[in-house]
Amino acid sequence: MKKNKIDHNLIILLISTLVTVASWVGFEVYRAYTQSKVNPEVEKYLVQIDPTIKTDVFSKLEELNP
Amino acid sequence: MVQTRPLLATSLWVILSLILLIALLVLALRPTLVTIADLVSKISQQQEVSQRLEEKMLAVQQASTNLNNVRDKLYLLDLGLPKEAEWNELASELQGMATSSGLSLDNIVISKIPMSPDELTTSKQEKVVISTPKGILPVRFSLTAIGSYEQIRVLVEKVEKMQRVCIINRMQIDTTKEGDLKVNIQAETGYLPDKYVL
Repeated sequence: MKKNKIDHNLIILLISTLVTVASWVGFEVYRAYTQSKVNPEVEKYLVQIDPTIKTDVFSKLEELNP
Repeated sequence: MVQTRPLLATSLWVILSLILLIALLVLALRPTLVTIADLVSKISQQQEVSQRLEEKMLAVQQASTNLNNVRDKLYLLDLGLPKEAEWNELASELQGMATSSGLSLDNIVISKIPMSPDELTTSKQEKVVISTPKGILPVRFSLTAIGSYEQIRVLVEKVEKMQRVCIINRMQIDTTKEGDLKVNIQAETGYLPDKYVL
């Protein structure tokens, strides 16, 4: 009877451990997926630029005295 | 003993299976899954970087095309906003404008010209309102001349239409003892050295 109780407790302990380990693995996988792999140095080269040139400035400058 | 006690045998197999499962999860499954997640994430992020770089390349090509279209007019920018303070040319131009307007030039005062943007923020004692856009180094000047109202109007018009972009901050007109008008114009122009161009 006592032996059966030890087995029962051990199985509960192992199942709890399994759940904990599974959660740990899950979080590790999530962290690995969400972590940024892009070099921060690269980020500064990714800043988008506006290719338009305000040509009306040239018209205004042309109107000024030579 | 196990054969005689089937319950014990079942428990033993369950315990061993659970231990094996935990060991597999920690030693085999975890590193594999983490590596897969890491690689998938890396591929996705690199694809995003590649796409953004392509977009930037297109923007740079577009900017280059736009720049080529206005290349013959770029000298206007250098005239409007020179790379050096060119204060002597400014003084000569002001003198010429005052003379051609028919005014009698009294004086031209050009304030201390900052050599870097730091000089604008460090001079706390001198609180001056700067009208030029941020990043441009201001060249402040004051011009005093004597003449008629019409001559003053012509001068102001000329200062406003100077090729070198100029902002008039303040203008004061007084009467002299002789009955003429004395005008004092406080204005500001600027320059942008190459090293401070963004």
